[in-house]
Amino acid sequence: MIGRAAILAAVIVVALTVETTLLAPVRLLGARPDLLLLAVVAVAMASGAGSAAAFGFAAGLAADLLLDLPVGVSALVYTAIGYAVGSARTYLASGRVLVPAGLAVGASLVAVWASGALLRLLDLSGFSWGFVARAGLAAALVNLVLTPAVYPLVRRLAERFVTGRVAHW
Amino acid sequence: MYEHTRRTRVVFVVLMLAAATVMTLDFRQRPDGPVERLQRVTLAVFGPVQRGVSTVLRPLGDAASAVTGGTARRDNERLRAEVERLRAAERGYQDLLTENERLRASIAMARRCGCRTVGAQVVARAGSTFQRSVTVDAGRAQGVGPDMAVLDGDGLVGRVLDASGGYASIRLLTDPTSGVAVTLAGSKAPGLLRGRGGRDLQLQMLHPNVGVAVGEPVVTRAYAGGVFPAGIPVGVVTAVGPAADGLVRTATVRPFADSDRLDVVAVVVASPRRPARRPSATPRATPRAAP
Repeated sequence: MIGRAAILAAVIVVALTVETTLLAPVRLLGARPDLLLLAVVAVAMASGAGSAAAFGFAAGLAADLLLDLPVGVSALVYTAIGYAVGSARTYLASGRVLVPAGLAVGASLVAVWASGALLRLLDLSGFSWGFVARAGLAAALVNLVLTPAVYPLVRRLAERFVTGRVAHW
Repeated sequence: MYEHTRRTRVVFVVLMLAAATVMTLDFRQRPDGPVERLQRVTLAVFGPVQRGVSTVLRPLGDAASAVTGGTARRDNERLRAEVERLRAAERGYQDLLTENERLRASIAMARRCGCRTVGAQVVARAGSTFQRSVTVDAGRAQGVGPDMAVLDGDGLVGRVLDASGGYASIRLLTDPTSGVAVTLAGSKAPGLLRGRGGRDLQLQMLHPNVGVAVGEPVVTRAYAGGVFPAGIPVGVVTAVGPAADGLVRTATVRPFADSDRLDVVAVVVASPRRPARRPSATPRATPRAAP
């Protein structure tokens, strides 16, 4: 259990570090790559709703604290996405290549649009609704390109430490 | 079939409530509150990692760009390797020279405003779609604190958002939550400069019917309770909008500093003292002591 938590904590640190250094110049129509979101989707497919919600909360909180976002926004969104994907995984054929691609696109759209809407409604961001809409589409495209590099790796790591047939947190 | 167990649902609800609670705490916290302290700890943990990775990536990025544009042939492996080694060394020197020049430019900018500054290297950029910020390798140990102005060789870059012992987070001018008090360099008309997320900034004049001309420079304005020194170059007016209902005129300003190419910056840790007011010609009458 401790080994699994340490591995997933390391995934968060590595993903945030890569996002802010190696991928720092990447910005498409204002949208930035979101490796943590791809990791949340991978953990959800590997471990189920409970584990993914917990991982999403930790990852979102770390992102909010490091990236100077209003703290709690990403935690809320990632928790919900992790829980939703983890709940739906029994309906998805995990062997198909299109599944992670579709999940990456869907999760990116929801993450950016939900975060943007939350920030706008709480008056914590000056970005326009138009920017939020465009950024969601652009983020989906950027994350789709990164999915083959991130999703299999994180999923394998998460599956390696799953105890039991179906993981419940 | 649903995988949900009662426990999973409870965990989900608890986590969502926890996230909402943290949002409320962050929204309502006072300076140096618990969430801010947690942000400082995160900065202190990630800062060294980000600096290490940035240090490693910089020469690699330079080498990669050089190799992709190189014309060396494969006819002599030994000579080619030697040439590459020498080129790598030259790139290293060039990198140091460029860094030195940028640092000198930042210092020169600080001298012009009479400020005391601390030099810092950008070690990371914001990884968020909704934030425009960078992390630099100077913090409280170097005298850096919240709300201090940050410059580079071209002009104002942003302000310090938070600082840990050795690292600081800088909110860039281009962030939509950023606002800076400025004046037009020529007419001295005051205004407020706001970020819009993109490269350009929006200038809102404080007084109606103020003339704004394209090409006019914009500089920072000092005011009571403000932390920015006056006279730091910020940008130049590139377009002037119509006066909306005759109330406030707006304009588009292109900042001098390119926030996408920040490398070395200077944090203003002490602003120049304002000149003391001249004593008035007629001395004030000394108030009589109450009987």
